[in-house]
Amino acid sequence: MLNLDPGMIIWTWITFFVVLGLLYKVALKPMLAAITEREDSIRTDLDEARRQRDEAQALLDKHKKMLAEADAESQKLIREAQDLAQKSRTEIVEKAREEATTLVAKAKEEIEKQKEDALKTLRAEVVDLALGAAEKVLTQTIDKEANKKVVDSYLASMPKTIKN
Amino acid sequence: MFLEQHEAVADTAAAQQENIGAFIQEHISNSHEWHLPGLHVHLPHFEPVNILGVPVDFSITNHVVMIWLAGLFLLVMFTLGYKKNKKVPSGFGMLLEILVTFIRDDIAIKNMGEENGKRFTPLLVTFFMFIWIANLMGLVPLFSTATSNINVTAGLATITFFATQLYGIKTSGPIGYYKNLVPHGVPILLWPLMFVIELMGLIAKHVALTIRLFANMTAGHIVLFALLGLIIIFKSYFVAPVSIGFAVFSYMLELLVATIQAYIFTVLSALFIGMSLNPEH
Repeated sequence: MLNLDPGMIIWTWITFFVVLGLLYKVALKPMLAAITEREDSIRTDLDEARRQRDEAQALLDKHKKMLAEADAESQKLIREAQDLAQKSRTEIVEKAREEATTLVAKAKEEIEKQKEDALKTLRAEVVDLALGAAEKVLTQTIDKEANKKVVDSYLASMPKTIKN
Repeated sequence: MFLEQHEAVADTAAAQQENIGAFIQEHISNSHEWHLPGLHVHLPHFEPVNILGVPVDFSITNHVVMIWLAGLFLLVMFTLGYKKNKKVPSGFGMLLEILVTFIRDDIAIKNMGEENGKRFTPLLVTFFMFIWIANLMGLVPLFSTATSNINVTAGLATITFFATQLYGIKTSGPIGYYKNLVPHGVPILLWPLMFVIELMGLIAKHVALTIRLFANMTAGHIVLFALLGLIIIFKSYFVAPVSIGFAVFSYMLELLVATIQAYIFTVLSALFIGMSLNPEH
């Protein structure tokens, strides 16, 4: 059982190396090459997929950012427009109010002036009237009856109303 | 054969026991015959050839035939099972590929590193498959276990040994390689002693590799035959169920051991070659 037999050892070597050589040529070499090739292709595919995913992610991020920017921009524009509108509205209202105030003041002034004019005219008229009447009275002081007649006729000769 | 033995041992209990021992011995050891049902193949006997003063017997013994059959079976298995032009294998080819990938990734690359692991994968795959098939053949009736012959395991272990020396010298040069045997940081005065010890350790490792496979494969078969021999020794049918039960159990155990030993031999070979390739580790 334990006796050494060099022939057997040599047969083992021969057999093993023949098997190793043939197996390598027949199966192991193509097999290992195929395994390596497959692994490489899987690795490159994975890398490619990872790269593409990163790219897509970056693109998505970029788009999101762009969208957010656009959103912010539009918000800003709207706000600006609103501000502008508000401002111009206030301005217009202010201006209108001012104009109205001026107009009212002007009208008041005009009225005042007209009134003044009318009063002046009236006053002159009254003076004229009084003078005319007095003149008539002075020129025709014959009797009381005649005077009364003169005044009445004078009054009748006057227009019915006074217009200014 | 069993019946012949049975008739032969029918005399006395002592003679029986002796003959059972002889029967087991005969069954385990190498022979110049191959017993097939109804046919005793007498294998060719050659005169020993003198090589360097040592008589070497190149006779085709039973175990030589067994390792040839193991190699043939291995080659047939890989040739038929693996289709070259298929990019993704299926069925048996896939199983072979899983085995090869396992040996490459978990044995070769783990113990030798990426580059060397890939280089030595064919050797390790052949080691594993060859030893495994040779081990399992011992469990198939009509075949015998070539790996329970110490010369076969020694032959395989010397391949590992020469691989470690050859590739160790190839990578670090003859002086560098043998200098690296001594661990770093050893005082210079201890160098001669350490060198001798390391050299002995180197040889002992491979002797252990030889003995481990041989002893495991031999022991299992001895147990198996001893259990069956109990039936004849006790001359009782009542022993048979117990014996057969235990024999079946140890047969199952042997299937496991056959696989484990092939695996261990491969792993240790990878480890030894890896160690001689990367002495710093």
